[in-house]
Amino acid sequence: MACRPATTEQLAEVIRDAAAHGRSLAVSGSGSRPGIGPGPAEADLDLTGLGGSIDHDPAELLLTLPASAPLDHVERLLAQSGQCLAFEPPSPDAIWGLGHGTIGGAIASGLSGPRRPFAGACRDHVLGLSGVTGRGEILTAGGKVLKNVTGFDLPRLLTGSRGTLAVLTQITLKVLPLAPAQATLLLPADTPAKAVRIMADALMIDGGITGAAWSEGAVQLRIEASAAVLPALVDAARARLPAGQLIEGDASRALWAAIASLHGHARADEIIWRCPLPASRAPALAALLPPAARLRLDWAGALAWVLLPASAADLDVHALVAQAAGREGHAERLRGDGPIPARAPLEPGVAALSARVKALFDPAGILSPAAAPGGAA
Amino acid sequence: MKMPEPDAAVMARQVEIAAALGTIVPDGVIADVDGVSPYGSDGLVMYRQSPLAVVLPRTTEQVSRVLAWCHANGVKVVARGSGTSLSGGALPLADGIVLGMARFNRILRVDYDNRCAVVQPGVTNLAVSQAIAHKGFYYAPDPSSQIACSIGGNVAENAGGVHCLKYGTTSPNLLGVELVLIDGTVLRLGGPGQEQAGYDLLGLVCGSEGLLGVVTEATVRILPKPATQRALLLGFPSVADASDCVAAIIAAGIIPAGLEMMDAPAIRAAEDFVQAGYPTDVAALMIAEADGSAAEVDDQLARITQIAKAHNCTHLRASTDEAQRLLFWAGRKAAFPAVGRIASDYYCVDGTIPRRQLGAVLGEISAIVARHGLGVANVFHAGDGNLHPLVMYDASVPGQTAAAEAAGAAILKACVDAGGVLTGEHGVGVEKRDLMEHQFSAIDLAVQSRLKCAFDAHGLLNPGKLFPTLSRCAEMNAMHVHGGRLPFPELPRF
Repeated sequence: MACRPATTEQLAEVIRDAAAHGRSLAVSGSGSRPGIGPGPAEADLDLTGLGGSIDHDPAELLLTLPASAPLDHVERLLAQSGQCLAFEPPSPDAIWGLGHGTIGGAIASGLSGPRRPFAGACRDHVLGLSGVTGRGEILTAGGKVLKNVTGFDLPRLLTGSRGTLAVLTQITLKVLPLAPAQATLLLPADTPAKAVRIMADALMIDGGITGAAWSEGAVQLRIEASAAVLPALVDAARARLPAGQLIEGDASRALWAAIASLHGHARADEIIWRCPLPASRAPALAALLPPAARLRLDWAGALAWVLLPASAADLDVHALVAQAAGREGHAERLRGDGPIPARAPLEPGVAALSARVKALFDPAGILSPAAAPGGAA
Repeated sequence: MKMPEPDAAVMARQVEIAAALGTIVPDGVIADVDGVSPYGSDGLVMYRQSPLAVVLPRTTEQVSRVLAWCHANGVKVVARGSGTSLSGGALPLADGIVLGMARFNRILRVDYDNRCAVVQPGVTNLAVSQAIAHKGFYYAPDPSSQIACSIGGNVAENAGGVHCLKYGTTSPNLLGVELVLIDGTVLRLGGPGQEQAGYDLLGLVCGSEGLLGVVTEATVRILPKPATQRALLLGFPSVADASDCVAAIIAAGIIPAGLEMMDAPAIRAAEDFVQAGYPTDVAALMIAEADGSAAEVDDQLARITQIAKAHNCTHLRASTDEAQRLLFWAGRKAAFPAVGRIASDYYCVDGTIPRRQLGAVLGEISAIVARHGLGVANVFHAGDGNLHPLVMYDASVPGQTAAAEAAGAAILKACVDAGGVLTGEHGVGVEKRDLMEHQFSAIDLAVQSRLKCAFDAHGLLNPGKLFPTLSRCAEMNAMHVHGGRLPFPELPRF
């Protein structure tokens, strides 16, 4: 069963009705991220009918738009003014093959791309939100200004909450200039340990570095700047780092789009695990992986992608991340099935607090219950 | 400002409460009138209230036991860092204790490989940068009180500074906390990694003004110091020219490390005070700072210079060395005390507006203070639209303190009416509490304040701050019952 509200008031009505009858709703935008989507529910909530206008004010660095706005459309619109979503949301298309998704999905999933260590995370760019809580209340949180500490920071709490606290309808984002020129240095590094060392050294260089990743025996180091300045920054980086190949312009852009989304990195049948952890622990995780596993690093080593063949579906990646990084890392399976749960349980105190937060927004437990931290309520 | 009615029964137990807490923190309870008096106020000096007692714990275990005892005994708790809040965030309650975190004063470890420092909450903001300077690192948020304000207070208020446009307030620079809940539960949220699992509870706690828990440890992001920092001093014949120039700089794709503005009264006060070499014949003065590699800095400053000239800039100087850059900043950083020299008292207001509204809102501010018979000097974090009107008054003249407060409230309402918000970096505290309904609908406020029920259902942590009223958590839970079943049957009910 599906319902497709056309206005925020109708959405609130649908949610109130579902809450009154204890009928769970699967909250999703365009359904482009099934691996981290709502999971099973008694009815599907189709949000594509909730439109609205897009207001982009480049001089104010502000973008207000409906949650249903397609992500690729938004990125093209910003590029026309030389701006971007600085947290570089990964396109879900390469992982799940169901399109580029919506901005609402990007914010609700909370995933950040390669610029995260340099420009901040998804949650750091969400200034304001409107939506409907699990009680059917029409909510506005945050503001439409760059600097705001008024009240509890609901925009951060709702970002990455996977639609389990409130259904997002409108979002205000901080948008930033996109550097007009870029280049990537490929620096040979045959082990994760060497790669993490090179990336840590590279991050000490002050000069336009906005990406540091590792795959296939090479560190990829992105440098972005104005066209006039870029050559000097590339020279400065080369003077302090091992010799390597230079990739420029659109080839560099394509390389980073692929790193963000794993396009061309993950094979079609591979299971994909995403593991944020302290960069210094990435080599320890690498050492624990079986030969069949393939590893990609991003965020200068603070994000590990573990790619597994179906035959390794029973590999407990949660346990390996815990062994490598203790409680300072975690893992989530974005794609693929297997006997291991996609997410590990939260530490008990945090799990209890999270459940209380969920209950305050959604006392009937109807919003994507299977996606709430810790699983179904 | 009306605070919650003190509980006479709790106040009558003052001696017993101090004695009980003294068994948990043997050398750290102050309960005599003279001893608690210095804790009676914070940076918002208009308000003063002595607490029942001051408790100065040294360990997380002591904090946990103190909070658990207060929870069991219905005693309210106001946590305090260095007491520099400008919104009354650390104002005590007559029937509550102050939990002073000053003894948590150690930097526990610095992890250069993962670019973070683990510090106790009583460490001052500047001390973090000083401790890592020898390795070429610093901590980016730099509130103007940074020599005194504590990291714990910075986390509670999501404190900002003059470099927020490029580096953000505290929240984007905070990776993890150890948090003690009112019932004594000790939680770890986040850590040295760049992302936590589950809900962003760390983001919720940052800026929660002491209402949700007490931070006993913070993991902050540290950054390599910029290779080069240079500043431009730009004078304009009108505020409109200056604010158009700011918009043009941003629209040109430049995010300066700092972009500050002062109006004529603030320029003159600052120049008289520190002789920074500011032109006193301009209506608006801007400091634009670029940082990064020398190539990037030269490029940015050249482009800013070009834009400024196109916006009628009449005075333009670029810093040629570090001493001159610091001199440019000296006037701006001393603007508050400088205004303090020309007025007996001043009240620093903090609101944010969409930048394009700057001219209109400044006009409104002038009219408001004139209506209250007062003067004003304005300093702004122009890049992010954060205004600091300094309303000048004389507390010794009957009625002027109230007039300054009324003018401040009217200014903040004007900010909200222009599409902005009540506070950009100082927090709501007691100061702006009763204005929250001007910015948020009843539902918006209910959804926010209800979150307190997940952390502190009895409303013991810093009540009377941030929200005009608190949700009644027991009623909230009654609403959870549906069809005879509770959605979370394992949870305790209040």
